[in-house]
Amino acid sequence: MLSTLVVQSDGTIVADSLAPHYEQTREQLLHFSDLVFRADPLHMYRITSLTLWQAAARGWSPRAVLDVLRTHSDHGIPFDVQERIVSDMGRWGRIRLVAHDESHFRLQAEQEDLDAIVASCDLPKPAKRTKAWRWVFPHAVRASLKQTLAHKGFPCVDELGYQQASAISLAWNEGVSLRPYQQAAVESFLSDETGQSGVVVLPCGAGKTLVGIAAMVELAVDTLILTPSDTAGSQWRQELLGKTTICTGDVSVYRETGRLGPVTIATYPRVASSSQSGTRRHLEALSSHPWGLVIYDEVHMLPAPLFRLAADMQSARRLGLTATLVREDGAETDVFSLIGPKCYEAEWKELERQGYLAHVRCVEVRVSMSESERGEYEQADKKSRHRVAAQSRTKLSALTDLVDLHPKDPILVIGHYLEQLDEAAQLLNCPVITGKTPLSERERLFSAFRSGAIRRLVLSRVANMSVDIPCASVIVQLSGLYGSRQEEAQRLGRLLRPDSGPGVFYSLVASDSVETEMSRHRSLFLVEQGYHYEVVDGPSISENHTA
Amino acid sequence: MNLAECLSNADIATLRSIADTYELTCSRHSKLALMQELLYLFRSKKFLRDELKRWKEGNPEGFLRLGLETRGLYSAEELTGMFRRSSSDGRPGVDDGVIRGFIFPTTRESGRLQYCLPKEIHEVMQEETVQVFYAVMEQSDSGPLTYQEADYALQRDLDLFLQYLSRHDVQLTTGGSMYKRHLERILQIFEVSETPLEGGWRFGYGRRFYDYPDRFALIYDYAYANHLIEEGRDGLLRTTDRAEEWQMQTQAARQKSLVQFYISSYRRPIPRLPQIVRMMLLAPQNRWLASDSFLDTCGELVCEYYYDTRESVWRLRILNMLCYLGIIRLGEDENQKLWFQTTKLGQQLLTKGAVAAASESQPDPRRVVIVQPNFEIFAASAEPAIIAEIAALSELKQGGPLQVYRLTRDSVIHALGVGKSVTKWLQYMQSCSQTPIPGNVERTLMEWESQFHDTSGTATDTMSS
Repeated sequence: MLSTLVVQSDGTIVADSLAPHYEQTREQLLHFSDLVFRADPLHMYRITSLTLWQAAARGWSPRAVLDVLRTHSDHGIPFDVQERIVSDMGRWGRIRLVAHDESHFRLQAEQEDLDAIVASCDLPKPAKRTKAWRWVFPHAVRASLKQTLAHKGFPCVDELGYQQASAISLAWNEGVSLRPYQQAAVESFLSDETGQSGVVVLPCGAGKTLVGIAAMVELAVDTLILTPSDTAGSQWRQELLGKTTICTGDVSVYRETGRLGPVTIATYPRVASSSQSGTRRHLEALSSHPWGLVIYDEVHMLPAPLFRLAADMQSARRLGLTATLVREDGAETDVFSLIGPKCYEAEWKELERQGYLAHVRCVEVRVSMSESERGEYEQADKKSRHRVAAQSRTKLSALTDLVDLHPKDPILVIGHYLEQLDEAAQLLNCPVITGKTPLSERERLFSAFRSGAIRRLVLSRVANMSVDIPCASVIVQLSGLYGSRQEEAQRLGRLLRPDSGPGVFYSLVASDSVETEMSRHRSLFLVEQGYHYEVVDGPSISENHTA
Repeated sequence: MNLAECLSNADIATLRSIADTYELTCSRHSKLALMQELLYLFRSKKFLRDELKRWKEGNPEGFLRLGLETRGLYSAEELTGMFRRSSSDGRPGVDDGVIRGFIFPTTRESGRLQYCLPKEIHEVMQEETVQVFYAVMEQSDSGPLTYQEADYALQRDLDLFLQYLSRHDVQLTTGGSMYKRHLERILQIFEVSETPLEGGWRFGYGRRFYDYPDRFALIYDYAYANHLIEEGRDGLLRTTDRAEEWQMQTQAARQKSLVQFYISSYRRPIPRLPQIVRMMLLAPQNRWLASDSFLDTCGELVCEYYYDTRESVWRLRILNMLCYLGIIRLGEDENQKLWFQTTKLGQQLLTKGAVAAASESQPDPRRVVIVQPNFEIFAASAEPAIIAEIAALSELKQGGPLQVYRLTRDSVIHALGVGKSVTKWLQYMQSCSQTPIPGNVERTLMEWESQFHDTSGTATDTMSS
């Protein structure tokens, strides 16, 4: 019914994945657009200023982009979209940051661009109030200037280079090898085109850590690794020590003592914390060290205050790792200007097809609240309704049914409400990990789970991020928190481990409640990524699935 | 008619005069001998071309116009009109054509004097005309960097206009035009945007050309002329029953009718419009033509019109409008040079009989809908009737060749409120959908329906108790 592509007037490209030349077309599309949505047979891509700048940065011309679209589309390309492609791509490379002297840089552009910048941007003060210094700025404003310009639609090419950093010694241990897509991601990051700063987009479970380590091996310079949590931090440490020749003493985990090593691992919350007087001691300590490379793990989680950290470390190479560029706060442009452009992206489904990720089924299980709960629900104000529905006791009996369905599989149970989690843990007779569980205990339980000593584990939301649990093939989500798409992707990420075989992601939802609507919004992200999402009734589980 | 038929229909005096022109040596008394000799002579393409050029020398304009025509029979008035020159009334040019054996007077068809142009002669005339026309024109393979291509947008916007009228009370001013508030809203939802007029001279290009911007004026005038809308005596603008009939027609037929309407209403201020359009149809395939160069070559075909300069007639009334109609694509290159090219759709619309063939070539025109698990519905080039059914339960998210609709709780509840049935709707969608309706969508719609009936049921109970 469709030609391979239909370009919509908002810059969305709808692609028919069943069209004969789709494979090649897709590769070309990813150069100048992002895949935003996938529900077979249709795949949706979006062209934005960012994706166009990225394409221009990698040597694409507007005519080449338009030719790809025209070749694969039977319909005309909306004129507005054509004009946007030409004007956005035309902006790349017109504005440059170049060195002026040791402590200053200069903004270089044609007069008409400079005029346009002055007209629309609130620029920092120039270094001196003379005509010759009109476009010269101190290094301290390098990042904020880039940010401001990008927001107003003026991408700039940063030609200031990177600071000198101390070398470290590390190489791969024998027997470690990268998968082809990991190799491609690293090569793209290191290439001149990206200027050795950028974001690699890989699905959860596809081995982002290894890409980061590969960048370290290639560059071999002092490296700061920023992760969302301590657990994730210690996993980076383990991987580094296990896969490379680096000495244990060279890898330090940044704690209260504030000791820095050649490779330092710190968490976002710690770095962002400020004293009562409002000073961010850790941030200052970390940003004053001359790093050669800064790795931002799960860069979509980078909290807004830490954009300052990223801003202060413009003179180091920056590698962002993430499963999704979607940010609930819409700060994609800041990631672009402070960390860098997307330099590599692999699709979830594609890796699943190649056998690198396990096949996953998403099942929404509907349970009915008991009569007394229903009464309480009807009485409750809008705010509390979600809590009542989410904690319905019927979920616990559905949980038992689900667990019975998978007697041999390792199962993770995730939820938001602690009471409910405790009860679930008692019911299943298994340990529970919450924010209060000490780190050492958490790690002990995780490793027990990994080794198969424990087959069931209940986790609160805290334990949700960046945790590598290789053998969970079943996840039961007791309750979710509002409609965060990131959260949904993260949870699913737990399952996507190739060694565990096909996985199932159950989410328990009280029917006829606000939870039903919220769950619909949350699941949208999965559906858009191409996962099959089915809905079943709680009571039917034990009858239908007993095979 | 072909040459042999024309010769055998002609009277012997005509054949004699042709033989005299070419100084043939055959008998002047045998019609058969004359016919055979002439057929033999005219078989040489080179001879034909040379002689036609001679005829053309004295009558370049008449030759060009006749060459671009598509019919075989012309009335005497038509032909003398074509060959009229400042120095004469056109008779000499026509007579010259007769004694050269290119056109044949006949009274057979209607009893009145008509002239027949044989197929073989017409082909060579057309070739010659087109070849000369394009020989010096600036052309290119790569063409513009960005270009407009409207496809069927004009009729889709006409549909939106009709839809808007059926859902709103649109009051007309005493002058009979819509109030600006409505006009602005309508122009806003259109695929191709226009802004309301801001004064200036405007007349000649249609009934409401004075009130509305170019593209919308054509849409409005078309709808009015075809009785899809009526300007009620109560001052309301509304759709008629014909509007539904219009929706049942195929896309190709609708577009063709729009094109015909454009040509018939714009040819009054631009008398040579049909020839210009025909010339575009005969342009070299897949080549881009430079706008300036085309206008230069057109010569007298494009003239100024009162307030419109020759350039603005060409740019605004011809190129822009043909682009709106999907006949040409139009755009500028990196150096702001304007280029255009006839589209495939244009070829189909302007070539006789091609419309029917084009619409048959779609394998299964009904399976054009995809309902997505995220509650969006994609409809590609769907029949207007299907679109209407989709729109009943969902809201338009995006127009264009691929229309996107979204099912929301509100849109479904609204539809239920006006008596729509989810079950029937799902059945209908199933019948025109390319893929099965996703289970989660089906289930949710049913849920909404039962919730709707529960609440409305409760309301009824309360009232009865």
